[in-house]
Amino acid sequence: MTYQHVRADRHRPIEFVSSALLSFPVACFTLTVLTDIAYWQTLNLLWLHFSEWLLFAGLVFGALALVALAIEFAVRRVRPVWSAALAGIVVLLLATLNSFVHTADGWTAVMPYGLTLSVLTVVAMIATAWLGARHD
Amino acid sequence: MIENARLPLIALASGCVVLAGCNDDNLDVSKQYGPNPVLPAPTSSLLPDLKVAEVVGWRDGQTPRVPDGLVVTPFATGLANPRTVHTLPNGDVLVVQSKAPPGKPINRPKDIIRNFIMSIASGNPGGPQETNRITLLRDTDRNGTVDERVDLLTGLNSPFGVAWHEDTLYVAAADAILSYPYALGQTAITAQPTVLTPLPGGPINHHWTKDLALSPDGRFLYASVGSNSNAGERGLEAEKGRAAIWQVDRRTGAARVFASGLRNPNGLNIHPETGQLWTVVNERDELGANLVPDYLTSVREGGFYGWPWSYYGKNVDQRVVPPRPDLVEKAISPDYALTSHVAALGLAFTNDSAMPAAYRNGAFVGNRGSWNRTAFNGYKVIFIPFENGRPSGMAQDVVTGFLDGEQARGRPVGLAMDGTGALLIADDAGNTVWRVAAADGSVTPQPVPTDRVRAQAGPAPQNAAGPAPARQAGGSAAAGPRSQPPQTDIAPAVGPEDGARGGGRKPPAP
Repeated sequence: MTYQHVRADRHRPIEFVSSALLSFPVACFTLTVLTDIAYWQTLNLLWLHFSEWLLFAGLVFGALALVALAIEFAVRRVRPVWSAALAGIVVLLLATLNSFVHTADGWTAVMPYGLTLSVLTVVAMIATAWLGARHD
Repeated sequence: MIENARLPLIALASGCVVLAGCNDDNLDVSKQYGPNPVLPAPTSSLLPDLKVAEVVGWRDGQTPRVPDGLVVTPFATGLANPRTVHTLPNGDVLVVQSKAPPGKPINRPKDIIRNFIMSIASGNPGGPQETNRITLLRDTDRNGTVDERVDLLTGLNSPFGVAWHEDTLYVAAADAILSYPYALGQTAITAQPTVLTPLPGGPINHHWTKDLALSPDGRFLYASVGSNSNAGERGLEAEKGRAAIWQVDRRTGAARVFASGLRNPNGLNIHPETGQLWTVVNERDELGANLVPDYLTSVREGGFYGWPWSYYGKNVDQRVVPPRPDLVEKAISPDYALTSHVAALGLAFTNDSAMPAAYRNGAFVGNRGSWNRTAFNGYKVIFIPFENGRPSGMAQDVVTGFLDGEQARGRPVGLAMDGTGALLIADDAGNTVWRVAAADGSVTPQPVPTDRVRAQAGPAPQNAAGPAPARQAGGSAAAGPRSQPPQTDIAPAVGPEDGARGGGRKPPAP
């Protein structure tokens, strides 16, 4: 018991880094669905710009989280849950694609493909969490 | 809303969606010249088509190429981003040098990338010289070489258009038309300018170049104001009074929108035979390599030319929501397409010039060159023959050689016929003004100014262009309740001293 506790302590900082970084894409990509819907309903370009920056921030932190996780797994000498890792990469690919769709000027930045991709990204995030939790 | 949502589905289904841009560069470019250009279906690519020519400048002895019967020589070198040239009635030439005003806000991640691309495309191989100035070039003996060169005005706020009439020099800065007392022949301006009228300026000022032309009776100035966005993506509030040509009373400064829906008009010129106003217009990007053709057109009073809701007449741009079918219905199809993404910025009519007969009736157009396209287009000066004041045939390449493989030696912008009847080309990337003349050395008997005033303006008729607000676009009587005028018809300008950051400088001392 004590031994396990010490062991967990030893790895806590690096786990904190990856989980902190991971919270950004989760929050950003989820909010993107809401800001996309807000743009769709109001045509206020503020919401389109929100979506773009949220996607941008989510991708930057998502990429950093990927690096942190890779280091973490290497340091701990454990293998990731490959299905969850794959789903996580799908999340980042969808968000990248979505960023490009969102660079369009005006309505077509969101409707229909932008919003569709935003929703798919969230679905992929839920799948990632589910696949990861199943193996814990 | 449901109806709106279906429109882009149709548009995208008929186009193609690929990662690195659609390969539709293979349309024969010549099919996009003239009054009825071929317009392919819009395409939407995830990465906009992009190819930027790095600016390398001209080495000693290098010049653009011209066909037989013409010679090209450097008229002035060592300039700092010369954008327009203007010939005064005494034959003196003004070269306006400028760069984009600073302070444009970054709203989207895309803006950062776009700014970076633009910085490659403009280049400054001449070195960090001071731009934003107007230089006078005098060819005293009319032999095609400059004998006297003096900076007339410096420290301006991104000037572009100039006009002169009745001892007054008008300069269109990025946010206002300034007037300076100036008699022909003077080689210095010491007087402080007065603001004739403010024009829509910063802080965005996306298409910032304001061109000027003088009406044939000398009474009005026409001023071009480009849009604040590609296709309305900064919101319509940002487009008040923009994508328009303004008519400004030269004496009172009273201003109104003369024509609108013109995305980025430049090269304002009055046709010498008909007295009609003409302009070249840069059309929108990101609908594909062959959309939308830039164009040359006569400008009708009260005319609406579609931007942002439609292009080339009634071709609806699906990106602009909510749609305005009432305005699209009124959109005028322009006179002459110049092919897509050429960035037409300069226009000069050749009537009464000293060019060879083949170029004596028509217009030269300066195409600064594409960036929103994977195959270069533009980077040359073309000639369009006219008959009876209308374009009458196929455009021909006249001045080429600005491109060297993937690199640009220079980029042609503003054009004018000089005091001897030869063509001048402002090359803003090559920091040179080129002179293209008849090889036989012929010159006009006397200088022909860029702005030709036919007769003195009589007493001002009442009510014509008073300080009126924008007219209703088209007849308002028949219009329904939905038919408010486009924002581009509403002229809300504030004075430079009231403007926000970037446009908020007082007119500088000369």
